Amino acid sequence: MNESNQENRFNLEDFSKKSEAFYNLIKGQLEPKFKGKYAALDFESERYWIGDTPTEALTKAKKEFPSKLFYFLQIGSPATFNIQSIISRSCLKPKYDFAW
Amino acid sequence: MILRGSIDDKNQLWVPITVAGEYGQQKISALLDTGFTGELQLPLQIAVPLGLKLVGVASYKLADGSVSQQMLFSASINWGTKTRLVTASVVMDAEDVLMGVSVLHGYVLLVDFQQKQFVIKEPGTDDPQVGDVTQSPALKS
Repeated sequence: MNESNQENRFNLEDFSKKSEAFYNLIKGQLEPKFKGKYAALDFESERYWIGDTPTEALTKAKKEFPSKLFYFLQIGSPATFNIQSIISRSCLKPKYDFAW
Repeated sequence: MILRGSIDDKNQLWVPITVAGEYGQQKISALLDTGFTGELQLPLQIAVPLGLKLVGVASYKLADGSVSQQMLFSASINWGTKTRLVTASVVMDAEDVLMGVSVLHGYVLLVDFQQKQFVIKEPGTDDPQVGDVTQSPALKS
Protein backbone atom coordinates (compact mmCIF):
# COMPACT_ATOMS: atom_id res chain seq x y z
CA MET A 1 0.00 0.00 0.00
CA ASN A 2 0.99 3.58 -0.55
CA GLU A 3 2.67 5.17 2.45
CA SER A 4 3.21 8.56 0.89
CA ASN A 5 2.56 10.59 4.03
CA GLN A 6 5.97 9.35 5.19
CA GLU A 7 7.75 11.18 2.39
CA ASN A 8 10.18 14.00 2.80
CA ARG A 9 8.06 16.82 4.14
CA PHE A 10 5.48 16.61 6.84
CA ASN A 11 3.15 19.50 7.47
CA LEU A 12 1.23 19.07 10.69
CA GLU A 13 -1.44 21.61 9.80
CA ASP A 14 -2.15 20.07 6.42
CA PHE A 15 -2.09 16.55 7.86
CA SER A 16 -4.54 17.56 10.59
CA LYS A 17 -6.90 19.31 8.17
CA LYS A 18 -7.05 16.34 5.82
CA SER A 19 -7.52 13.93 8.71
CA GLU A 20 -10.32 16.00 10.21
CA ALA A 21 -12.00 16.28 6.82
CA PHE A 22 -11.91 12.50 6.57
CA TYR A 23 -13.34 12.21 10.08
CA ASN A 24 -16.19 14.54 9.18
CA LEU A 25 -17.13 12.11 6.42
CA ILE A 26 -17.30 9.11 8.74
CA LYS A 27 -18.33 10.54 12.07
CA GLY A 28 -22.00 9.91 11.36
CA GLN A 29 -21.36 6.20 11.42
CA LEU A 30 -18.74 6.21 14.20
CA GLU A 31 -20.24 8.44 16.86
CA PRO A 32 -23.45 6.47 17.51
CA LYS A 33 -21.49 3.23 17.94
CA PHE A 34 -18.11 4.24 19.38
CA LYS A 35 -18.60 7.48 21.30
CA GLY A 36 -15.80 7.93 23.85
CA LYS A 37 -13.47 5.41 22.24
CA TYR A 38 -10.27 6.35 20.46
CA ALA A 39 -9.63 6.15 16.73
CA ALA A 40 -6.47 6.17 14.63
CA LEU A 41 -7.26 7.62 11.21
CA ASP A 42 -5.44 7.38 7.90
CA PHE A 43 -7.03 9.78 5.44
CA GLU A 44 -5.00 8.45 2.51
CA SER A 45 -6.34 4.92 2.65
CA GLU A 46 -9.61 6.14 4.19
CA ARG A 47 -9.20 3.60 6.96
CA TYR A 48 -9.66 3.86 10.70
CA TRP A 49 -9.01 1.68 13.73
CA ILE A 50 -10.90 1.84 17.04
CA GLY A 51 -9.64 1.13 20.56
CA ASP A 52 -10.45 1.75 24.21
CA THR A 53 -7.16 3.63 24.44
CA PRO A 54 -5.06 5.50 21.88
CA THR A 55 -2.46 2.76 22.04
CA GLU A 56 -5.01 0.05 21.33
CA ALA A 57 -6.12 1.92 18.20
CA LEU A 58 -2.48 2.49 17.23
CA THR A 59 -1.56 -1.16 17.68
CA LYS A 60 -4.35 -2.21 15.33
CA ALA A 61 -3.37 0.40 12.76
CA LYS A 62 0.33 -0.51 12.88
CA LYS A 63 -0.47 -4.11 12.03
CA GLU A 64 -1.58 -2.93 8.60
CA PHE A 65 0.63 0.13 8.13
CA PRO A 66 3.75 -0.28 10.27
CA SER A 67 5.42 2.97 9.27
CA LYS A 68 2.55 5.35 8.63
CA LEU A 69 1.58 8.32 10.76
CA PHE A 70 -1.97 8.41 12.05
CA TYR A 71 -4.31 11.06 13.31
CA PHE A 72 -5.74 10.25 16.72
CA LEU A 73 -9.03 11.41 18.11
CA GLN A 74 -11.56 10.57 20.74
CA ILE A 75 -14.80 9.83 18.97
CA GLY A 76 -17.45 12.43 19.70
CA SER A 77 -15.05 14.75 21.50
CA PRO A 78 -13.85 18.17 20.27
CA ALA A 79 -10.24 17.19 21.03
CA THR A 80 -8.31 13.94 21.36
CA PHE A 81 -7.14 14.71 24.88
CA ASN A 82 -7.91 17.20 27.64
CA ILE A 83 -5.23 18.59 29.92
CA GLN A 84 -6.88 20.55 32.69
CA SER A 85 -3.62 21.28 34.47
CA ILE A 86 -2.10 23.28 31.62
CA ILE A 87 -3.24 26.60 30.30
CA SER A 88 -2.29 27.87 26.87
CA ARG A 89 1.44 27.73 26.45
CA SER A 90 3.75 28.38 23.56
CA CYS A 91 5.31 24.92 23.80
CA LEU A 92 1.94 23.35 23.09
CA LYS A 93 1.33 25.42 19.99
CA PRO A 94 4.23 24.49 17.74
CA LYS A 95 4.44 25.12 14.02
CA TYR A 96 5.73 21.96 12.42
CA ASP A 97 6.82 22.24 8.84
CA PHE A 98 10.16 20.62 8.42
CA ALA A 99 12.11 18.15 6.36
CA TRP A 100 11.55 14.70 7.77
CA MET B 1 -0.28 -7.06 41.51
CA ILE B 2 -0.83 -4.05 43.71
CA LEU B 3 1.17 -1.00 42.68
CA ARG B 4 2.05 1.75 45.08
CA GLY B 5 3.13 5.32 44.75
CA SER B 6 3.57 8.35 46.94
CA ILE B 7 1.52 11.43 47.77
CA ASP B 8 3.40 14.67 48.28
CA ASP B 9 2.62 17.70 50.41
CA LYS B 10 0.39 19.13 47.69
CA ASN B 11 -1.64 15.90 47.57
CA GLN B 12 -0.20 15.06 44.16
CA LEU B 13 0.09 11.39 43.25
CA TRP B 14 3.42 10.09 41.97
CA VAL B 15 4.06 6.68 40.47
CA PRO B 16 7.45 5.11 39.68
CA ILE B 17 7.72 3.86 36.12
CA THR B 18 10.44 3.10 33.60
CA VAL B 19 9.99 4.72 30.20
CA ALA B 20 11.81 3.30 27.18
CA GLY B 21 12.30 4.15 23.54
CA GLU B 22 14.50 2.82 20.78
CA TYR B 23 17.74 4.18 22.25
CA GLY B 24 17.36 3.88 25.98
CA GLN B 25 15.27 3.79 29.09
CA GLN B 26 14.91 5.88 32.21
CA LYS B 27 13.36 5.37 35.62
CA ILE B 28 11.14 8.29 36.51
CA SER B 29 8.40 9.40 38.86
CA ALA B 30 5.30 10.31 36.90
CA LEU B 31 2.65 12.66 38.19
CA LEU B 32 -0.71 10.94 37.97
CA ASP B 33 -2.92 13.64 36.47
CA THR B 34 -6.61 12.80 36.52
CA GLY B 35 -7.27 15.96 34.51
CA PHE B 36 -5.26 14.57 31.62
CA THR B 37 -7.20 12.12 29.46
CA GLY B 38 -4.20 10.96 27.42
CA GLU B 39 -1.51 8.48 28.34
CA LEU B 40 1.85 10.15 28.85
CA GLN B 41 3.40 13.59 28.48
CA LEU B 42 7.16 13.87 28.62
CA PRO B 43 9.51 16.83 28.90
CA LEU B 44 11.76 17.18 25.87
CA GLN B 45 14.92 16.58 27.90
CA ILE B 46 13.65 13.15 28.93
CA ALA B 47 12.09 12.17 25.62
CA VAL B 48 14.97 12.92 23.24
CA PRO B 49 17.62 10.57 24.72
CA LEU B 50 15.07 7.74 24.73
CA GLY B 51 14.57 7.86 20.96
CA LEU B 52 10.79 7.70 20.86
CA LYS B 53 9.18 6.87 17.54
CA LEU B 54 6.80 9.35 15.94
CA VAL B 55 3.42 7.71 15.34
CA GLY B 56 1.07 10.56 14.52
CA VAL B 57 -0.78 13.65 15.59
CA ALA B 58 -3.41 14.38 18.23
CA SER B 59 -5.26 17.46 19.42
CA TYR B 60 -5.08 18.73 22.98
CA LYS B 61 -7.66 20.87 24.71
CA LEU B 62 -6.04 22.90 27.45
CA ALA B 63 -7.52 24.35 30.61
CA ASP B 64 -8.23 27.70 28.95
CA GLY B 65 -10.32 26.00 26.26
CA SER B 66 -7.74 26.38 23.49
CA VAL B 67 -7.02 23.41 21.25
CA SER B 68 -3.65 22.67 19.70
CA GLN B 69 -2.24 19.92 17.54
CA GLN B 70 0.76 17.98 18.78
CA MET B 71 3.00 15.24 17.54
CA LEU B 72 2.37 11.92 19.22
CA PHE B 73 5.12 9.40 19.93
CA SER B 74 5.18 5.79 21.01
CA ALA B 75 6.92 4.79 24.23
CA SER B 76 7.19 1.65 26.25
CA ILE B 77 6.54 1.78 29.98
CA ASN B 78 7.50 -0.80 32.53
CA TRP B 79 5.06 -0.55 35.41
CA GLY B 80 4.28 -3.28 37.89
CA THR B 81 4.33 -6.65 36.20
CA LYS B 82 3.59 -5.25 32.77
CA THR B 83 5.58 -3.71 29.97
CA ARG B 84 3.24 -1.93 27.60
CA LEU B 85 3.16 0.57 24.81
CA VAL B 86 1.68 4.01 25.36
CA THR B 87 1.37 7.15 23.31
CA ALA B 88 3.27 10.18 24.53
CA SER B 89 3.35 13.85 23.72
CA VAL B 90 6.54 15.83 24.20
CA VAL B 91 6.67 19.36 25.56
CA MET B 92 9.55 21.77 25.76
CA ASP B 93 9.23 23.74 28.96
CA ALA B 94 7.90 21.14 31.39
CA GLU B 95 9.77 19.38 34.17
CA ASP B 96 7.28 16.75 35.26
CA VAL B 97 6.22 13.61 33.47
CA LEU B 98 2.42 13.43 33.38
CA MET B 99 0.59 10.13 33.39
CA GLY B 100 -2.99 10.45 32.18
CA VAL B 101 -6.04 8.39 32.93
CA SER B 102 -5.91 6.42 29.67
CA VAL B 103 -2.96 4.51 31.15
CA LEU B 104 -5.28 3.41 33.95
CA HIS B 105 -7.82 1.81 31.64
CA GLY B 106 -8.75 -1.49 33.34
CA TYR B 107 -6.97 -0.61 36.60
CA VAL B 108 -8.45 0.28 40.00
CA LEU B 109 -7.13 3.36 41.79
CA LEU B 110 -7.71 3.78 45.53
CA VAL B 111 -6.55 6.95 47.25
CA ASP B 112 -6.47 7.77 50.94
CA PHE B 113 -5.48 11.40 51.29
CA GLN B 114 -5.78 11.20 55.08
CA GLN B 115 -3.12 8.51 55.34
CA LYS B 116 -1.21 9.87 52.33
CA GLN B 117 -1.20 6.58 50.52
CA PHE B 118 -2.68 5.13 47.39
CA VAL B 119 -2.68 1.85 45.56
CA ILE B 120 -3.36 0.85 41.99
CA LYS B 121 -4.67 -2.61 41.27
CA GLU B 122 -3.53 -4.14 38.01
CA PRO B 123 -6.13 -5.81 35.79
CA GLY B 124 -6.60 -9.43 36.80
CA THR B 125 -5.58 -8.89 40.41
CA ASP B 126 -8.11 -10.75 42.57
CA ASP B 127 -7.53 -9.77 46.18
CA PRO B 128 -6.13 -6.28 46.57
CA GLN B 129 -4.60 -6.72 50.07
CA VAL B 130 -4.11 -3.01 50.32
CA GLY B 131 -4.51 -2.59 54.05
CA ASP B 132 -6.05 0.59 55.31
CA VAL B 133 -6.92 1.98 51.92
CA THR B 134 -9.55 -0.67 51.20
CA GLN B 135 -10.81 -0.65 54.79
CA SER B 136 -12.21 2.83 54.34
CA PRO B 137 -16.03 2.62 54.21
CA ALA B 138 -16.06 5.29 51.52
CA LEU B 139 -14.04 3.08 49.23
CA LYS B 140 -16.14 -0.04 49.71
CA SER B 141 -18.85 -0.61 47.16
